[in-house]
Amino acid sequence: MLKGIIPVTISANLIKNLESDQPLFVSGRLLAIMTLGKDNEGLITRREYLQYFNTLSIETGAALIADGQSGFGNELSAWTTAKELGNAGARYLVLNDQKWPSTSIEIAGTISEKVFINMVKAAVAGGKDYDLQIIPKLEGITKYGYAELISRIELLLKMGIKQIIVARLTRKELVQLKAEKFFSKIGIELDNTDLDLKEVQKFKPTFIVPVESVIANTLSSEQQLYEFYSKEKNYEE
Amino acid sequence: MKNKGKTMRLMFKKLVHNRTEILKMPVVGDGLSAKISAKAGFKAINVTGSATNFAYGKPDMGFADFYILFDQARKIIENVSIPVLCDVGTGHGAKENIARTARSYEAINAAGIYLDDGVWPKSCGQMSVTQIASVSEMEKRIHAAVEARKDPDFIIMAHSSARAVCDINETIAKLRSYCIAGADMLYIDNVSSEKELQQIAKEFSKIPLLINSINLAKTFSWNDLLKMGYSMATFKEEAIYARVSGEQEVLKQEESNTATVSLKKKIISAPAFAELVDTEQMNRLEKELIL
Repeated sequence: MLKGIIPVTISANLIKNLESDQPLFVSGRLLAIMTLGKDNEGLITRREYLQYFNTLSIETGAALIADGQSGFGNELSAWTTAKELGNAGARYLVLNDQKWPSTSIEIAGTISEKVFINMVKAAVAGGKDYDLQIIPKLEGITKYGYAELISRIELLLKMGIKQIIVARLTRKELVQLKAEKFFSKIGIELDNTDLDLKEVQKFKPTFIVPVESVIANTLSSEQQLYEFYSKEKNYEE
Repeated sequence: MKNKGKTMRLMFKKLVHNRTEILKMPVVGDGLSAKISAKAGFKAINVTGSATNFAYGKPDMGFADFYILFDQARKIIENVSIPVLCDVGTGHGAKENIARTARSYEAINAAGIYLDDGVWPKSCGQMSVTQIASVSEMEKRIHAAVEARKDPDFIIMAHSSARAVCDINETIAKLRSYCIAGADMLYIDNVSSEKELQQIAKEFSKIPLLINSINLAKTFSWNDLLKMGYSMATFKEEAIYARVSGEQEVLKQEESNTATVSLKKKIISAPAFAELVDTEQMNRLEKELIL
């Protein structure tokens, strides 16, 4: 089960150095930024992600959380995604409720509650031969509102889902969510939100996925390198 | 060949605009089929999504994503010296994805790509049903691809299956919108009657037209289709089916043989196969390289 702050990374080096039993999230958004130079996870296809993920999994042996985005298509695609990532060593698979292709900043749209439940069912079926837990990620609160968020959570828990990620929350919505009886099964993703890590920690969710801060750190390190290379005339004697 | 992409695109355009014979393009899903086609005398090939899915032992239901199709097309293009036209389905997503698709296929030296006017992802249970995107959606796909290409000779073709669900007038109206949106050529599918084929050819006399030559209402000579106004023709997966039936026959014999006997089926000889995959040429190259 996911607990505490989940490391978000695509670096085998970091995973090896952490030497942690804690599962780590291999973010599609971070992979798109680092390999395509674009802040749009939907540009990374299942095959590209799978190849990268497989190498990380083989080389680190870590418990990895795969980013299944919005399942890369329809129910059959979600089934294939779970099967292939399960085969590639994923222990957890995050599946969001955006319309395909999912995006990292502005959500273009979300799929209906019924279709999303079918997608999750398909992913559970696709991963049944592996030690793979499906973690649905509800990202569309700005599109469908708090009431439907709760309805989606209840349906997912009813079908046997153990943990759910909720993303893009406001402070007010987090306060409301904290009061729900199922809050212990909810993880909060910090991505495209005004909430910061310390603030969310005060609510004591079971786990937190700090995507935004990892991306900010990665870009800040790059900025330092950029400044170094642009200022240092390292080609001169 | 310093700029293979440009050379192939110019060669493709020349073949398309040659008014003396129709350009026939077999369907290909892997490097071996590409080589067989090129050595059989075809002057261009058509890499389809279905053939690529089949090469991976999968049905044509969207298993091969952008990266698989792109990677397979890259291997095929590397393997032949004739123009390769590539099926990119609906372009693999939103505007930015389609731009990446066009940019990527141009970079691997494809002659061009064709974009479907279908819907993806389809709802499960409706996979075999033809679903057509709105005209504005298809226009956006074409715009995204046209804007992303660097070489104006890189062909952006619109592939329409609309006739499966629309009448001929609506189909023509859609095709007209695709041309206005920037499609360089049109690929006509699901049109079978002579009258409708003529109607389309007359309507788009200035646009190069590709026809799917299978399941037409009657048998046309290539010359008839050319005269009608079609400059390119393609097929379904007959060559792949033939390869499978040959393989099945041989494997059946091998599986049921009780002794080490020769195969009854006539198969390509080892030397002929070696010639097909350029073994001697590679041997010569290897010798040159180690000298």
